[in-house]
Amino acid sequence: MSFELPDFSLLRAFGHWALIVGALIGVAVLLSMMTAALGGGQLGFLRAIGSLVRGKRQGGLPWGEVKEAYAGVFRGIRDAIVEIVGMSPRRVWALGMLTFKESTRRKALLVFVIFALLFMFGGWFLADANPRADLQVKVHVSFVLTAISWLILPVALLLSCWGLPEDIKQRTLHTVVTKPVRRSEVILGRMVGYSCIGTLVLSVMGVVGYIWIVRLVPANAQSQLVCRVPVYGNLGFLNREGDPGTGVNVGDIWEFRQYVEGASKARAVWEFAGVTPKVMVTRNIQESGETVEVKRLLLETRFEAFRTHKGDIKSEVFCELFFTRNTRDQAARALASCPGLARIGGMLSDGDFRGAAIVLAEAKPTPADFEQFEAGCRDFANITRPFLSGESKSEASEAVLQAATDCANAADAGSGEKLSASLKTFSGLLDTHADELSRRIFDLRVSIPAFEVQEYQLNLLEIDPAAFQAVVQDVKTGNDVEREIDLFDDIVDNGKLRVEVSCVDSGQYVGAARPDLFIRTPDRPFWVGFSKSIVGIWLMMELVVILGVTAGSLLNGPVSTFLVFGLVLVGGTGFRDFLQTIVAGQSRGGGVFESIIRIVKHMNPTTKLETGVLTTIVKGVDGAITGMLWLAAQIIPDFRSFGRVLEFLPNGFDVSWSTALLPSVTVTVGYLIPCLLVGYFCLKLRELEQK
Amino acid sequence: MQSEPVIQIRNLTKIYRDFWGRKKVRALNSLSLDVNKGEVFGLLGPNGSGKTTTLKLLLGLLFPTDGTISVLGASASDVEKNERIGYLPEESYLYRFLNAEETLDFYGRLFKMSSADRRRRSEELIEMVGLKDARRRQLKEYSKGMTRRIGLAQALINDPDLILLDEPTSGLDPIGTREMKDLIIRLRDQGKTVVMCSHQLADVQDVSDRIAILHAGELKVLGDVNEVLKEDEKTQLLTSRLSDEAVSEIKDVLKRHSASMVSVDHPTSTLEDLFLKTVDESIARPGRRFVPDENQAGDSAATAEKSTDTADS
Repeated sequence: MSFELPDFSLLRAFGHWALIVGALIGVAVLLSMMTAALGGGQLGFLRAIGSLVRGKRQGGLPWGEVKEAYAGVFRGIRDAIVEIVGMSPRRVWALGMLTFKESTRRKALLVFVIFALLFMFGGWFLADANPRADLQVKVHVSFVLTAISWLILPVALLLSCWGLPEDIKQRTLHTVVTKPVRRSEVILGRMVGYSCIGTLVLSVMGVVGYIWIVRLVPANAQSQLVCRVPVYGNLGFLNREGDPGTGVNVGDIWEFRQYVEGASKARAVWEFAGVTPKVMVTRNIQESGETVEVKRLLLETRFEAFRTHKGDIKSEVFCELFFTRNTRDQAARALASCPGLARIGGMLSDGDFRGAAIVLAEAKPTPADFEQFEAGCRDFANITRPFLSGESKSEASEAVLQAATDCANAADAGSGEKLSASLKTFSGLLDTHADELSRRIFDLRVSIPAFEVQEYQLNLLEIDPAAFQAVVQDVKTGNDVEREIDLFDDIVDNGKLRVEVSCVDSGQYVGAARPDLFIRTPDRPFWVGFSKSIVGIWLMMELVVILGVTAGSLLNGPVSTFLVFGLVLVGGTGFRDFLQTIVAGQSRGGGVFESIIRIVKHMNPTTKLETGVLTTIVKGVDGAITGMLWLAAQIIPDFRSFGRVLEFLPNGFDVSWSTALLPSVTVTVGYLIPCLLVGYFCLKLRELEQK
Repeated sequence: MQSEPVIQIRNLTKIYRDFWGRKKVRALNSLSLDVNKGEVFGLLGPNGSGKTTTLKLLLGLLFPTDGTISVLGASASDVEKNERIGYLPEESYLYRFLNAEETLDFYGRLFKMSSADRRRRSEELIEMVGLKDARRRQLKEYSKGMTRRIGLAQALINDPDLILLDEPTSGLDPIGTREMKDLIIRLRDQGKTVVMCSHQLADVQDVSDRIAILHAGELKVLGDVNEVLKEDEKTQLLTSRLSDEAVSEIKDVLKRHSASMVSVDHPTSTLEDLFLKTVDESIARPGRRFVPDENQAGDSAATAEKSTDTADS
């Protein structure tokens, strides 16, 4: 399963969609001209085009014909809008139900026989397939989802690709279109009909599949039939000196994981957002002989160990996990982002407020720096506010906060004099109250006991959020005091939780990737995730139906089937990635013709072609082909998003709405309207009785 | 006869082309004609003369190469006009997996008829076309004649103002043919306009008010049936049986007026009339059958006068 799912942006997707539709509208305008020419009867299409060209070049020779052709174009567009907007739901439903009956009477439901056979005997080969409970669940769930997908897709493909062409071939459509039925209604009606039959088939298969899983998964694995709901954080690394950087590459070609060196300051750092007490799960524990409900934060980890010691391969590698609130560090970084104050970062992080005051006093911001000073000082004020104001505030703390805010305001106002004055005041206060500020603004860090890295297995950490203690300095006296720390009250900052992981053992490494540590929020029932997976398959089926009906409006059954099958194949496999690399110019060896030349000349793909006319021509032609491929890559639907939906449940996760279902919904809905338009024009332009 | 045109065709030309746009055949050549409201218009012509092409152009199933068409005041490609049109194709292109009731219900839905209207209208039409006993059988089990009947029913589901019938009597037995012709006349009497194309000349003659004859895509004859068929050069007398003397005297009279007698004969009935008469009698007197004697067994001229009433014997 790919955990590095791309962030899905609905806005970007809409932009992409608008691009495709825009291109299609360009094609539609061309088709409208054809409709006008054929429908009007006055002009042949070529004559219409010819007269347009002549009209432009020779100045109004056949202006009447040109005008008529233009009018035809607008008439076509207007007709399309009227047809789409004026569709009658009753007629669409009537056509849909006809399609449904047609499918059932064409024995489409025989697919259940294959389904039944698979499920009757499939269990023989899956029972106790793997000793690990989670893998047993994975095998069963994968089998059901794969079987359903592979059965429903051919049914949808064949029905939708053959329905309309057969309707035209048998001429039954001709009787329909002599009624007040719009061509768009025929297209949509067909889509609705096939969707209904597909939905029926899928629902039955889904229910049977669910019961089958629940009944056949062995008893020891029944507890694994859950949908985990993870909250992932963003992963960063601290190097062995404790500075932000990257992890170590231990030589893996697959750069999925980076490694943290043991017994050093190196850390893998996860920053989670949106962490509230709601992410905790409820657990029942025995306390004084009674069962008590308690809240726990669940962290699931799956690190990998890289050993450099010779010896026992089974020797344990330990990790340590810290929850940190690095207020001082963040405040230091905020000020250090101001021009000329870079040195402050290290000083403040180490608690050297006096040194920081000196650097601040020497600052001489120019007008060009005001914007960064405004941002830096304001961030400093916002980060430190919870510690400098509130119940424990003092005159000094309030003064510091006010000074930082004054600096930000002065920079915002663009007043150099005021900013210099405010910085001096700020510096003075830092110097005067350095000790108090050091006690107030500090990095809080608590940890849980070191735990063993369990490779290839999930490690579940149940954390009591109120069970931490830390030694801090009393704000007023400066004495060390032991304080109870609550994870959500003291560590979590505005929903942000920072988790650091280090490797305890010297000379060993712990590998981490983003999904290797996540907060496990309350699980959802298995049926919820299963239903979402079925919805994913349904969306994929819908897209196949949409494409099949659209193709069938222009092509005959076999050709439509090959076309849509090809689109599914190209759009849902690695070929699409290959296409993307070509379009993005990332493939080595150039385009088609450049590759041919390289093959003929036995040239290395990395060797540059000799400059010259031939190379220019070849690159130009390849550029044009790449342009066409770009267009094809934009038009071919991305079936991979549906595949992603099916990856979650077998791995025990709930199907993510934002990264899996939403992209699938967007792809399906995005193709509906353009396909409806294309189908309408194909059927409208087609002489149904053409001999 | 109303003179309000329901169909106006002007210079209509249709050229079929192949995939590459090359001219294959000129199916219609500059056809111009009007069909008026409330008349039965017969479109005649041999196979390939352009009759069906004309109907399909009227329905927007084909696009004209040149010329204009106005149907019920709208363009042929206008979908809305189909609300008032009923069309019976040459072959009844219906969904064979539906039964008669489902077929009519489906087409009724396309006209957005209410459920009650669809039910009522289906009942009426199934009764009218005589498919009451086969209403629940799938169309794939129907004979050709039955398919034509349900095809006619679907054409009338919306109670159309303009009815286009392509070879309406094709595949029908003589009784069905007569019923079809009676229905066409009834529709005309209801003020509807009927356009039928056929090469069954007698059928067209029986019901049409006006006819057009096409040949090789061109209009050859257009006009009122009686006017077109009238032979001004001849005069026909129909009398009761005359003696030979009377015939001789009539010849003399004709000679005095410089006219000649073309033929003298006893008129014959049409085969259709004879067939219908025989069927009617059979229904009225069931069991009566014709028993030829040995000499007559191969004689095609045997008549019902020599038949035996088996019910009586």
